[in-house]
Amino acid sequence: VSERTPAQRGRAALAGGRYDEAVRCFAAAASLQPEDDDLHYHHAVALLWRGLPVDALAALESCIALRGPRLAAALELAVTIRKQIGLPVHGQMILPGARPVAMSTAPVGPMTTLPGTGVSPYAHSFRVAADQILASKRRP
Amino acid sequence: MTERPAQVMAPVVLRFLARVAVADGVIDPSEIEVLVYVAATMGLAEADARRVLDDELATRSDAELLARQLPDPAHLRSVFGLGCMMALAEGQVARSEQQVLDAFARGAGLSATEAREILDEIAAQMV
Repeated sequence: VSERTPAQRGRAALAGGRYDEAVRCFAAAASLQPEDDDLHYHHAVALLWRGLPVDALAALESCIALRGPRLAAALELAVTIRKQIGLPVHGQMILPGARPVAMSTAPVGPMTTLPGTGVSPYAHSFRVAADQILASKRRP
Repeated sequence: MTERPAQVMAPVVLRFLARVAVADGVIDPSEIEVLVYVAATMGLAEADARRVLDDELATRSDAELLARQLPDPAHLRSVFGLGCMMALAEGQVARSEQQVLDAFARGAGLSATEAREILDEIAAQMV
């Protein structure tokens, strides 16, 4: 039986790329120490790697509500997530000096068409990805 | 502190595509390379992409839940289209792959007709 705390196990899992385990550990740690904003923040980071950005926003809301040392980082991350997944950003969430999200601005050539890419900010990435999948199919 | 992904949609897309690729029970090394490349187009470094893939192959995400992480309809339709491409890469969509696509479509709020139209559109481009 491991004597390490859920938070310690969560950090080890996150560093080791065991994201599902990291999510479970940080969820347990945050429920044991709900006043520790660092645990909510790392829970959010683990959820992002787990492919669950909407759930990460909920963890960040818990972090932000505590107004602790992670406040600025949590606000900046929440804004980034909301922008990238296409949710509106509330004015009060933007801190002075927050960095804008870098998106590809490379011109889109006559590449594969995907439904919806005409209005998606990820249009270029999606089209390049589609071309790569097609190229792999055509390879002998 | 462990870094967060620079592009938060990348793990969602990568996990969904891996879920399609592994639906038939095995994933080819060439499919892994394609997925790593696709992840790179979305700003995910190779080492990070491989870690996410290892985690995904060990945990197998719920495709319906992944779709619910993308509230933007434009994102959803594009990502679903990429999933269709992965499924069609071997010529036809296997039953297990179709089940993953159906689950994603449910989470995306796509009707069966819409999902079919996207699949047909992608298939036509891949001929």
